Amino acid sequence: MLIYLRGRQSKRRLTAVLAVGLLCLALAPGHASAHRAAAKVVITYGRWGSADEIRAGNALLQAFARDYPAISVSQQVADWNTYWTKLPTQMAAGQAPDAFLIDPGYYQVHYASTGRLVALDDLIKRDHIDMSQFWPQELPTFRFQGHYYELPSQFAVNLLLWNKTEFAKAGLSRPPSSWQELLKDGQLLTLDSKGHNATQRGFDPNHIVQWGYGSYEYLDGIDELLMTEMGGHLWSQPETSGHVRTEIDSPQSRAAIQFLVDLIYKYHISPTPTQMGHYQSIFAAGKVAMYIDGTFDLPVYYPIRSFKWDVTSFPSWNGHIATMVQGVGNALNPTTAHKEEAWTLIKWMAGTQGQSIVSANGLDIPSIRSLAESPSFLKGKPSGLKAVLESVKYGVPYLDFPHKADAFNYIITVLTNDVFTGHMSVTDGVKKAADGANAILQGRHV
Amino acid sequence: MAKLMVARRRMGVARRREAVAFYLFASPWILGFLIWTVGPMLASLYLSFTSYDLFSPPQWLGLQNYSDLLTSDGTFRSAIANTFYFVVVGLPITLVLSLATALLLNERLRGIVVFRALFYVPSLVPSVASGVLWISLFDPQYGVLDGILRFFHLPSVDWLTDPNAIKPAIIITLLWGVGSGMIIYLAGLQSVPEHLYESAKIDGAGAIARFWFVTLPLLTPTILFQLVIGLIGYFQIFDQIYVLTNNRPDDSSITFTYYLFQTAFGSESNQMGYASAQAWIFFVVVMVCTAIVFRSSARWVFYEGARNP
Repeated sequence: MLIYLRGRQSKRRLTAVLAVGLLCLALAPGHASAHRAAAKVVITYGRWGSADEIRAGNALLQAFARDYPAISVSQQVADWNTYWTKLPTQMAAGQAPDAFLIDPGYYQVHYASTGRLVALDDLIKRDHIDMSQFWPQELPTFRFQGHYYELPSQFAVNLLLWNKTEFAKAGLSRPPSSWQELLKDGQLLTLDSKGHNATQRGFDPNHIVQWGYGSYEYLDGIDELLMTEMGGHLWSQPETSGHVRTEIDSPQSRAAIQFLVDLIYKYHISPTPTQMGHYQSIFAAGKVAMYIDGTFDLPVYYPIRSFKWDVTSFPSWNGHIATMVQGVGNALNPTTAHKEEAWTLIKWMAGTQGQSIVSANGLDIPSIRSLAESPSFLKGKPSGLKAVLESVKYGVPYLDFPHKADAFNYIITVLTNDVFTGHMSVTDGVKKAADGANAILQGRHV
Repeated sequence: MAKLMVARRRMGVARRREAVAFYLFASPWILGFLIWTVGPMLASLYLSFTSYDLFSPPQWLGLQNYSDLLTSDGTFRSAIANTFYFVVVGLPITLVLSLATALLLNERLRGIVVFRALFYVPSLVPSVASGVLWISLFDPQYGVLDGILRFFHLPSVDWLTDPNAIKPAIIITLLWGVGSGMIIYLAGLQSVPEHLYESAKIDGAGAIARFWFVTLPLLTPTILFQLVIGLIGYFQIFDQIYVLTNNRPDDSSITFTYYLFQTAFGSESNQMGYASAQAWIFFVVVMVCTAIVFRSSARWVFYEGARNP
């Protein structure tokens, strides 16, 4: 999903290493257990992920192996970009994994409509899977034309990270709840090399050593939400209109982009994209006092020792709140020779056991709502996470439609390269983005 | 008579055996070429007239992919323009710079081999690794390049985000790899016979005249080689674009091969037919340019042995 946008995604090609490792494991038992090993059904599972996510995924599969010793799962991993170039070619060659992770917000319509995913309704009914146990906000994501094509695997909400230590130094005691407060706090928290903050006379915007706020270009995690809060939309509503357009050039949406650009170039409380690029994690480096990210990135921040931090929900605009709730799910390959075993795996992953293990490592929010809200899950997590989970009800629908990924990519390229760098005015930039994306959505080449 | 026929037949048998042996020895290559190159090329030629998403059967479109590409696709136009920019601007600079480096490193000085090695080493660094290195060199705040600009009181340049600076920036990264061309020029320079310089000197030719009338003509076969290799290399430029634009090139930086990759693998619906049409246009363009270079070479390439009586 949003990981798409992040340049800092590591490109680890673990597939080969894992394949060799699994081969060694398969050969390890020797003669005595050779007979038992031969009875095992080996299935393949494909996923993308960061190093943290893959570590968590391995722990998950080890637990599955204990529960289902007769099924051996061989995991194929790739970084996000490689995953989406590899999967279709594997499918074309008839070598796609038996089960695999799908981002329902971007690729589901194309894959489901070309018969590359199994409709899961019969299996869900047969095994009495209670779909109401999952977050209601993420369920529509997994449906296409009334059918379920994935079972929930991971759930993500976005949040505002805030540096408690720096807030205290600036005389602030609580995080902002609105963008207006964020701007005000951000000005107090932005410091130049002489220690002036952005509200003080003599503040030098050319020698900033700490910014109040920062984030990487995050179209569906920040821009789209602020547009929604200000009364606009990134996309015309897909569930009501057949043909989706982008509305990024509407006055409301444009105002949202303008506000975010102003945080950089007018108020100087946010670093430019180039300045952002100097840091692997600018918040963990203590260079920005506030940062918007997704729950999936929390493990990056747990090791921080040099300052205290917490999280809170996405800021509102004039009392309107929108937040990002995105689930990703596991799908089945229609050509699998081991449909039952593959189904057993994804069912287990979506179940209480799988979801407990997924969330135990602090990486993901459980898709099962009661688990996410349980004291055992929240224990040891940042105290603001409860408020973040309460903001799920303001979730912006995460739906796919034809050519969405390409249109999304086009918009983000224009925003990243032209608008947030300051090379193009917001008015020109959103017009360029809208013209191109709308042509792409009509199936044209631009 | 009979003896002669036997001899002839023997020769025929020997020749045929030789031919069989030749084809047997060459067969791995021939088979590989047919299966892995000719076959896919023919398949892509067919696919270029279709709409094909890897999964549904190809649908015949006739010439539509080609007409879309040549008439309505703005990104393709940008890709062509940018690619030609790299060829027209980058290639001559590369050729001249690698020759100049080779001339300098052809001097007989103490420790010259060390310098040769130093200049050659960057061309051994994989393009992705050098790309990552260049990202930090281009940084407008901390980068070395901007430090130099500041030293001369020149304005700072946003190398990688300014649409006017990104192409020159990419060429600069490519110039870092002139070492491989330099090595070939060095070999060419060292094969220029010493007696030609001596007789030119006796005739009163200065250093510039010696270079112009002796070195350069004798280097033309090497220059032709470098030109053809460089031409194709610049046409196929991809890695630097991928790394330096963070996998997000726009109209100011997208190239032929990158757009082809994006269409085939980076798009939601894997438009293989459309990408195949691009590949064929690309193939024809590179073929024509290479043919022009070869055709023209008769006029300016001098082969030492060729003019001897």
